Amino acid sequence: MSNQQQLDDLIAEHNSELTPRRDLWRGVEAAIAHAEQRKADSKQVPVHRQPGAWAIAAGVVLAVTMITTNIWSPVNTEVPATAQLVDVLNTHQQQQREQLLVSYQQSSYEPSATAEAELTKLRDAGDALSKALQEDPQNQALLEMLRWVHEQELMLLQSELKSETRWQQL
Amino acid sequence: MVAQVIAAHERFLDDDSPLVERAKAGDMQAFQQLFQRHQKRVFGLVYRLCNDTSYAEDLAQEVFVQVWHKLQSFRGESKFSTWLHTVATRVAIGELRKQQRWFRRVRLQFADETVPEQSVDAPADLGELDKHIQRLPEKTRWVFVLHALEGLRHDEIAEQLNIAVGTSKAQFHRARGLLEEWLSNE
Repeated sequence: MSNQQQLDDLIAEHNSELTPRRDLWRGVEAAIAHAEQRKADSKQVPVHRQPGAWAIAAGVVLAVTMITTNIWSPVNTEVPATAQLVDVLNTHQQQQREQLLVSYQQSSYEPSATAEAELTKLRDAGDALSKALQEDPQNQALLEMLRWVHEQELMLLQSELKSETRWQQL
Repeated sequence: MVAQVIAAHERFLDDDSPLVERAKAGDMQAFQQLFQRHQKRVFGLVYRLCNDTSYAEDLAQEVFVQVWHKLQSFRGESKFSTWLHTVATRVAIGELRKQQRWFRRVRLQFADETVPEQSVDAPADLGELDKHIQRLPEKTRWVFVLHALEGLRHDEIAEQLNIAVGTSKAQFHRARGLLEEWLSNE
């Protein structure tokens, strides 16, 4: 059989359906409910008189708690990105960074010029993503990328610290 | 006149119509049934466009959220599934473009024309053809998926991807060439 015919056969036999690994409906339902709630909130009923206000507040507190305890993962999230979540991510990142920098100071270590340049690039990327998320707070891809950039920064700091500790031990 | 007759016929044949009408009236259960009917197809489409399972799952969710919000604008001139797939393609391509812009801006590695590595977390029910499609360069893959698998015409692809019709045809030709070559090497 020619390759052309083989390819045509594969296209003809092709099944367009694929099964996602996780339940997608819960996230869809939550996002729709969240949007509907925001629409209702925008009608300017005083906050304390809104029946769902306490539920929303509790939801935000829960999301924030989950983020700060590293339980929350953007891949599995059902909660739409918001400016508050970005702030929390950035604050959490700042705390982690400071903890690592304290360790650096204790070991009298200064990052190499290459590492410093990489760290600056990653921080600039984080800032740019945070700004973009202010304009487009529902964008899950941007939020995921911000988290990825944060992780890269911490990983780089940690690997630099480990390598310095090894040198000191030698 | 002919187009109107075809549209009316499609509406008549569209099994989704009753559910769509209920969903348009705000019935979330009806919308959930539509979701259950079409989620695998939508996920299949966005997965093949983005080549990443987690991201495709997020995109598929985004598609259905947008469909819910746009439902009022669906006037039933085509089958619901046709309209749904147009929305899915637009959402997926739009999000992938945003992601590309950001990758470029933060200067992370993103070589548009390189052949990507095989995804490690691919869906379990991938077919033989999918395993080859995953290896295609991104834009070549988009055109191949939309034309060969989703049945879009080159002028429709050109409009959705904002490229020339000739470019779409050339990318499709390139995709076929690569796929045939890989099949011959098996």
